[in-house]
Amino acid sequence: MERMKMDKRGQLTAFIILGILVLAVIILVFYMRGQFFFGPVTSSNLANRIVPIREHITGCVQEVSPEPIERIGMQGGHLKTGDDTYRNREGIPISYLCYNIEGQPQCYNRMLLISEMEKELNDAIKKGLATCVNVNQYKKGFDMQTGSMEVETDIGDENIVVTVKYPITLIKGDAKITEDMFSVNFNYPLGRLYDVSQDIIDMHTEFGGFDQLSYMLDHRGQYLIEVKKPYPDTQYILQAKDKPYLFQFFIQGEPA
Amino acid sequence: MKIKALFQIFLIVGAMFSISLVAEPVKAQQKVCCEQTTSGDFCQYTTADNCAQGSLQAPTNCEQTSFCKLGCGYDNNDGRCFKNTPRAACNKEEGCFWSESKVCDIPQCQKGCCILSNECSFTTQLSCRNEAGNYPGLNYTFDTGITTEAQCIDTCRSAEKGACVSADGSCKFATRESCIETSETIQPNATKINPNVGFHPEVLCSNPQLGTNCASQQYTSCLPDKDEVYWFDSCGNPENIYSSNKVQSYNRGFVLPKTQSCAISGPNDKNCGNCDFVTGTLCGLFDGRENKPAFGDYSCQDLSCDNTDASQTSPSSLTDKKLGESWCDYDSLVGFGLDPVGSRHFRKLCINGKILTEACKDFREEMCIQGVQGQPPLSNPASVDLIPDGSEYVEAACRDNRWQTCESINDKLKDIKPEDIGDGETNKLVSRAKSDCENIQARDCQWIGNDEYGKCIPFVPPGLKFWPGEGENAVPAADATAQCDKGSSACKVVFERPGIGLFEGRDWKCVQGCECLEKDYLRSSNDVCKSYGDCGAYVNYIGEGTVEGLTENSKHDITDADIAGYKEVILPNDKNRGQYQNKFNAFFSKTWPALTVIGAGLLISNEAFGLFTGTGHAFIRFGAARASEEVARRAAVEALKNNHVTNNEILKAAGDQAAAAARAGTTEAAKAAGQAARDAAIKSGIVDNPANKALLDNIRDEAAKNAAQTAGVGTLQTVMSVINIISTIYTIYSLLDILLADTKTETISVTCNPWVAPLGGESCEDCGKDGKPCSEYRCKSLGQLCQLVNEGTKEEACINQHPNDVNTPIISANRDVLEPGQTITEVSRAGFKINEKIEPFTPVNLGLITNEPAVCKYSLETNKKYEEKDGIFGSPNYVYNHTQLITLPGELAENQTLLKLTNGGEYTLYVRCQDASGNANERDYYVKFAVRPGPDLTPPKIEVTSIANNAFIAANTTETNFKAYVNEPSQCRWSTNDIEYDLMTSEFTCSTSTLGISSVYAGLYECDTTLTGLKANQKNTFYFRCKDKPSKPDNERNVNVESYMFSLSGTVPLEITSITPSGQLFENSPTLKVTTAKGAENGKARCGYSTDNNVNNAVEFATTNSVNHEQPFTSLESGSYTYYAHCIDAGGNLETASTTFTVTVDNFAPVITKIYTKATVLHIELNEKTKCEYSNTGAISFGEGTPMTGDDTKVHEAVLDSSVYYVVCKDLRNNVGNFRIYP
Repeated sequence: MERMKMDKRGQLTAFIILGILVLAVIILVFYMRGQFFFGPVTSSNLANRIVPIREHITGCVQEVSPEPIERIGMQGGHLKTGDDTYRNREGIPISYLCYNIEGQPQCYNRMLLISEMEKELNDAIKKGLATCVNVNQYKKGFDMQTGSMEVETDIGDENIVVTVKYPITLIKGDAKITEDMFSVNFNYPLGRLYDVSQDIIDMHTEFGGFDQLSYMLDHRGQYLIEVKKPYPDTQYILQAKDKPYLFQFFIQGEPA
Repeated sequence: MKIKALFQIFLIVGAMFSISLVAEPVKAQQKVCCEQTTSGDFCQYTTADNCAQGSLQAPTNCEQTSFCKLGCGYDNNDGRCFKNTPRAACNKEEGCFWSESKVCDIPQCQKGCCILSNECSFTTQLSCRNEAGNYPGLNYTFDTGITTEAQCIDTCRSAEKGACVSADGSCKFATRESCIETSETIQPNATKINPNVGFHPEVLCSNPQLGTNCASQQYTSCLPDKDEVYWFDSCGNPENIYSSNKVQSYNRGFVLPKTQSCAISGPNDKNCGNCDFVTGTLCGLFDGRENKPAFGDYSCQDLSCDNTDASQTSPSSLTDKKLGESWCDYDSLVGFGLDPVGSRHFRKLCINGKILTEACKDFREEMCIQGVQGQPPLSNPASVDLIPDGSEYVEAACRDNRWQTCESINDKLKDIKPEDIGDGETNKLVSRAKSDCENIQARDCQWIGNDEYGKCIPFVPPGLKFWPGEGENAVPAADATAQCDKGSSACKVVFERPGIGLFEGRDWKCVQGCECLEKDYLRSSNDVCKSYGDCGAYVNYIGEGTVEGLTENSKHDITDADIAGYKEVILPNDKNRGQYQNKFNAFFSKTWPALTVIGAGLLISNEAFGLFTGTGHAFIRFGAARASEEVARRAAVEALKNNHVTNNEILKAAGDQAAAAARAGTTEAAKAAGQAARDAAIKSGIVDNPANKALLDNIRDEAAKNAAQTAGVGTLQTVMSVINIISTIYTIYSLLDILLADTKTETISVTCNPWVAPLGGESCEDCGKDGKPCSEYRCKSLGQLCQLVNEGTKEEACINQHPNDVNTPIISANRDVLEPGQTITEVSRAGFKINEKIEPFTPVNLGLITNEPAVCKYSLETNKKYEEKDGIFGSPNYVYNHTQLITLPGELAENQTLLKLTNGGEYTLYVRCQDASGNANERDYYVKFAVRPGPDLTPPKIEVTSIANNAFIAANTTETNFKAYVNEPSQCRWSTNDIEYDLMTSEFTCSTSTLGISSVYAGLYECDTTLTGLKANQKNTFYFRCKDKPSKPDNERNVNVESYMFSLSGTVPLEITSITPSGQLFENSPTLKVTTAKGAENGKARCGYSTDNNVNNAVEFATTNSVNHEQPFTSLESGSYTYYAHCIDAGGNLETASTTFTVTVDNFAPVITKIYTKATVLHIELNEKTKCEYSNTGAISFGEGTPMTGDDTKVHEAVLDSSVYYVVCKDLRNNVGNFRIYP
């Protein structure tokens, strides 16, 4: 009887030990889970959290930028076209880049600068981003501080780099991380076509004409230059070989 | 004469007056040169209102102004030079320096070759330096000795390239220069682990010896600025030129020069990618079916063009074209005055296997000229007729059509007298004019005629604005009527009938200018007329012609057959092409005889000659023979008139001889004979001007000869005497016949007017169908009713715009735009219905077709006029097809909320269209469609709450009951953190059935909860989220992804810091004043008062709802008063305070309590504050005496200088006490 009691006591002790072990394991698992999933907040955690924000902003840049970049090419380097500075063709206001000099074959240069195009693109992209970027949706669980947004466009020969300067700081406890620049590269040969346009304008300003065929041959077929002459102007449509991007503009002509 | 002069004066004055009348509107639209426009542009010649405020402006062209003077803009930032740049445009740019050299002939703009490593660009020195500055440590070379871009590029082609290996085993095939930079960047201070790190010239990255991770020859592609197809390694580096012999191409991992690479057998060589642009091949994506490259997708593409659109009207298009070749493309046979109305020259060019078409300037302001490379330049006629053989390389250009000076050549010949033709000096003049006319250096004209006389006309007639009226734009300034009038001509025809006509009868006979009666004369006149431009009777570029441009009084007409002949000449086909190889012959062979007639008419007389100044000089040479005959005859007549009978026979014989010679075409003989006759007349004394003795001798000899012949038959003298009598009788008869003869003249005039387009507008829409651009000029040539519409838009079109078109467009459904599977039921001219319901969220096209170009509008309401419709259906331009893309649900017109479409709805659009003539439908055309109900994807929305958001709560309140009202049955939760719905733990109790609509807010569903944890003196924020459709599975429910944020502001208790009055009051109109502090809004509260401590009995203060509250009382009876002030703030904090005061009413006059004198002063003291006055003469009322000191005090004094004082004092309640004092 006494032995049975002792056995039962031993059994009970074993169950208690087992229970303690199970409990310990459960606590350990939950602890580890906490570490894994809700572990201590560090800068590297925050760095992970800023990834979707970066993707969101660069995604917006990718969504918003192509339209003004393509349009500025179609409109002769200007997104805003003032009165008497353009001619409509197929519904597109195409800028005059060289104005007629009365009684002379030469024209005078409107002096389109790359920096002007960059500025116009900055404004247009910034405007587009204002309706796209919304970082508040990533605010959960953090304090987020944001600065003012600026856009900088850099037109290169073969590409256009759009950089959004938008300081975003994520703060959680003592951890803090800041990201302030988001860049996206677009493969548009705007800079190269701009150079071609300036070569054409140079010829028009100096000699009053331009032979696109010899130019294309000199450049080993790297450009396609189409010329149209809706009276009395001359329209140039430039395209780099194997690239769909277009840059077109008008040279103003003089009616007879 | 006087009347005529007065009339001319009237005309001149009238013209001046009319000019002054039209001057005003011109002035109103005057443009100025703006230094800067409102849109920010510089140096615009625009209307004055476009000028920016403060900007300079001048009413002249910009190039005439100082501020917009053209020069060189030099951008100091990037070194770019802008030629012909207005000063103002440059000045606006920071760093731009302006120089007066328009062509930028300044040192800063001198271009040279900028060599950066192996990169070369032809640019300015500053630009080169700037570019080099982007690469620290990189030296640049600027070579001004290189003067062309091509030379510059070649300079860099030999730059050294090789494998640039990095420490991590990566590799880039790059230049040595860039490799140094790269490796330094990668490991500035590290020890090289990989012994191969660095630059390996002429070695490929995949070379096994380098130990890189790049595998060789993975794919093929093209390289920018390279002609060839290249192999690429797995790292994306280019390798050697592609060859299907991979081993040979790989060259054991070393660079294989182009010259040692494979040789292509021709375009699309599947085994070799050694393309060469110069020989007509270039790397490109393989797009053919045959000869697919053995590896990869790129091959050497053929850059020649074998798909030329060969045309009989463009002879040089008949052969295949090589890379870089260009040739002319014409609408018709051109040159020689043949260019039809509306036609244009085009230049085609072959580049990269594509054919580009360049239109020369419209109105034929430019002409296309071509030549063969390596051969001397061609004349205009040879150029337009050029038919190259397959091996010749043709080059073409659009250049100015220099027709304007053709007429000036004719002006040089206008002083030539008819009798001068054929003279040596005249011949020289004509020859020089012909040479000038055909001087290709100066002009593009052609000579019609020969070395004795002719006419200079444009080789390619200019295009004119031949149509009447409208529009200033895109038309030449040259006045079409004036230009065509240069081609007008007239011819005087003389008729005679004999006086007796015994033998011939008395019918009128043409004796002079008879050729002008022939049809060939009319044709010739028209040919000359149309050579001046779009004039006369001719055809347009599609061969449709009219004759209205030529008006004449000839008995002949230019007929449809003539027009058809023109068409046949200028638009040859394969069958008749051969016979028109020589177009000049083809065109002018018919008219050549008639051209001679034009000249004949000019020689009738000086008067007639004068008629043709400007146009009538032509072709005199061809009338010379005819003229000689006439001169001879006239001499004979004159001789007879003057009874020089003895010479009659001679004169008659000479005249007949001249006539015969003329008929035989022997011009010189006729002329000589005529001269002989004339001299005979001179001899006879008709004209006192003996000129030619030699001819006189001849005449004499002729007479002698005749005399000798007469003498030879002396035996017949008697017989001859009889004959002589008969002859005398005949002579008398002839004399009478001539003396009684009658003459009359008729002038055949041909007026050259601008060409008239064909009636109607059936062909309008042919404009542009040939793939060539349609323009206003081209459009107008197709019909009088043709009108170019939608100019500058994608839908630019030439349409028939009939002024009598009163018919509205007929609308029908366009089935072509329907989605697959969609069907419609259409009721003719009424509308259509889409039979199938449209899927929600699916874009759908609704399409209409109109029978004429029109703009269509729609509304959702019927019977709205076209102008009142809400939105444009499809294009805003005049088109046939109208397609409206809609996505449902959506809005068809942004500004019309009524047009909002939702899923599950049925809609009808009511459409009306208007054509270009302004005819709009009077009836609606319906378009019906229904939208299938869509899934509910919209989460619930809290519309109202029982407590206003941001409300205050009373101090010490820790929880409160709260109700939210939701727009659909939902389950809602709340939390103090903005977390997802599922994480929220506090629940609302909501009506989950559609029947549980709130009794307070109709249509909304009530959710109750208790908001707990409210804290004083701070903002308590709660976040609510709801989830709709409680009975549905979770995946069908919509939940708020953003919280409804709700705040309650905790407060501290309100305090009443003061309440007055209290104690004894000696006035009966006190004001109860209360001041509050703290509470919800720093003491701002609403207060009321009551005489018991029951807030319900409180009456609101007269002034309250701030921190100070006042309630005035009036005319209180004497007694004790207790008032309770109850104040409550926005948070519901209630505070009460009370005050008690006693009112004692003073109705008693003041009483003197003490009187005494001190020295010379009388002192009195009263029981209350008063004002006092006194008099020494008698009793007074208050206000009549001398004031004593101490107003509103109890103590008063006066100078003691009398034995009696009558004193009157008035207390604060105006009770007056009178006293008599004897000091």
